[in-house]
Amino acid sequence: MLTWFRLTWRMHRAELMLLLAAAGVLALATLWVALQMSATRSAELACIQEANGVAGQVSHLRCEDFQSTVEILMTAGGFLSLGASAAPFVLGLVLGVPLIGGEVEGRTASIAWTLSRSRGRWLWRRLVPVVVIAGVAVFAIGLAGDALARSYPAFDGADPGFSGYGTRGPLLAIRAVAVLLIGVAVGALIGRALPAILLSAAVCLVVFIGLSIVSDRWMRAEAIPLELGPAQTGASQVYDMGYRNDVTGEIVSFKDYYQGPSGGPMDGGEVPGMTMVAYVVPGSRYMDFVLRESGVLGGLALLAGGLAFLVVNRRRPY
Amino acid sequence: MSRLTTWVRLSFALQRWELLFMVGGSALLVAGMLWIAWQANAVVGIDPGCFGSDGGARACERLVQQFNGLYDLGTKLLDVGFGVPFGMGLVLGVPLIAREIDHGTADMAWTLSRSRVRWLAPRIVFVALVVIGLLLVIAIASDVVAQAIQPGSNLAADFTWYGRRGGLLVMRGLLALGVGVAIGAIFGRQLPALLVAIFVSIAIFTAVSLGMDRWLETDAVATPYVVELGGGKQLGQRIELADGRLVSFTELSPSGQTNIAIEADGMVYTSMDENGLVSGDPVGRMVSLVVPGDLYPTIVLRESGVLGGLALLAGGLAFLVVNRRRPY
Repeated sequence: MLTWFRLTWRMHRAELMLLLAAAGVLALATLWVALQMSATRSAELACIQEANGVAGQVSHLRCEDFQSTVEILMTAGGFLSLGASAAPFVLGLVLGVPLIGGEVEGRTASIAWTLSRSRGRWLWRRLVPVVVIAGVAVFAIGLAGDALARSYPAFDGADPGFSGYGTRGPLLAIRAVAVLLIGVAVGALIGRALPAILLSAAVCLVVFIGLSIVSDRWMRAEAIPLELGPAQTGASQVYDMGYRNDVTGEIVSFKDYYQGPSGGPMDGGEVPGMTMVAYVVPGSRYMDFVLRESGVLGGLALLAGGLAFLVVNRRRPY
Repeated sequence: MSRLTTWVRLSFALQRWELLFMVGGSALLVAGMLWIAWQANAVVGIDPGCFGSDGGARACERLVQQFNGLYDLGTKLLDVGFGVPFGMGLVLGVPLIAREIDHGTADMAWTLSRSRVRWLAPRIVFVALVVIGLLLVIAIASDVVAQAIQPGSNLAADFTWYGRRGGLLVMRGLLALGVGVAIGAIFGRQLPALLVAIFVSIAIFTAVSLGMDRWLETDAVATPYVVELGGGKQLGQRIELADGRLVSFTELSPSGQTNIAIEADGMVYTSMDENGLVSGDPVGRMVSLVVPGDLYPTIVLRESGVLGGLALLAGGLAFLVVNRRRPY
């Protein structure tokens, strides 16, 4: 197994060095920002407590320095999260596409496939190290992203729920593996690295737009009406708002509510017995949706991997 | 004529897949932009009053809603247009030399050619013409869609969506192309060169953007901060002291511990009390530093000049590297 990794390193040294260095810098920078954020928030809360006697009150003027540091860290965190959301795509495509595409393009597939006992075995030995390397690198970024999301002032270490969805956690590693296998399959079909990267990027764009639409529909279907207070906690995913009749439990939309009983617009103010509610998916259900997306992506990855094996077994090596 | 045809045919054959992808992608983007422009113009044409002073009328609600949907789509396409020059320049530029070295064909090609410069020049010219042609069409379409979703504005003298529309797209594409070709020549391997070229492009464009912002400050005029921008580009805020000097908040209080009060009319006072009310003497008046919209064409030309110069430098570097490096 070690030989597989050594060979992979030698074949993709330049790409691996660049990508692993970038992934390392991204993960470490994210972790550093998370730690700084936690430390600054602790100091800020202590300052407020000292100034007002009660933690959680409006910042005292002399504690505002901490607030500006938190804002700078949040801006940096925003850029790092953007990098984290792009990492699965960059690593997956750049490492996946040339696996077969590069060999066919460089005319070395012909020799490699002839010398190997079977093309399937050849591909397996090439695939496993790259999948492991990409998965582990992106997983590290995901873990650092988790720490960052928890450190934000809105959560202060608590569960961030749906906040930062797609920029943190193991989901990033699953995405990287799926993108990588799509890249391998497209590379095998096209047999040229750069055009295959473009085509794989287009395929991934379509897959992930489709996935986000499906995921959005799932969430809408499972959103529950909650009073505005509870709906705002736990980083819930808010979809719609309306008013609930406290007696009948019936929920009316904003439009119907503000039109009033006569059909004309109401002159403002709250109607007694009506409570404002929001349709939300509570943050506690974050893992359910991660598992669903992982399942879909896992299925797609298996399909793409299978297609890559099929193409390698059947295609000409040039 | 036959030499020209051969040149075009060979150049196309060398990068067929990338070129087809770029032409197809550009066609889709331009079609999308023109469709949105057509739809937006049609919606505005139904009742132009709804997009002026009567905008809030109940009868206009549906039209305005429809228009807002098109506006959102239009801005998304303008955002895509912002990224296209970089993608196009790098994808077409990096493999121009790197692929030949990567595949070991540069050795033969450079030996057979009368000079390496003569070998490289026609290739770069062809790709540059393709980039200019495609980006020019996208630039025109982006101006059309921007004008359609911003009816009533004179976008020829307006900084709205600066860098997302018009001729700057072409110059950015040329710079990305030059950077791609140069880095491809230096690295001699496609994928690592593509990754490095992406990083270098981000660094160059960030530096250019920051530099241009500093340069723009020389063209900015101080206007009362409550005044509408009118197509101008706001660079920041300053305090105009009684003697006419403009100072920043940091310059006003180098320690950063300011407790100044700003009234709604822009007047600045030395201090405020615990309730946030004015309690000190007047210091001056807050003003916005704005580059007037009339200067838009001049600024675009200026940035185009900078980008063009950098593109020439990058292209020159590529020629230098090709002349000096080993073909493997």
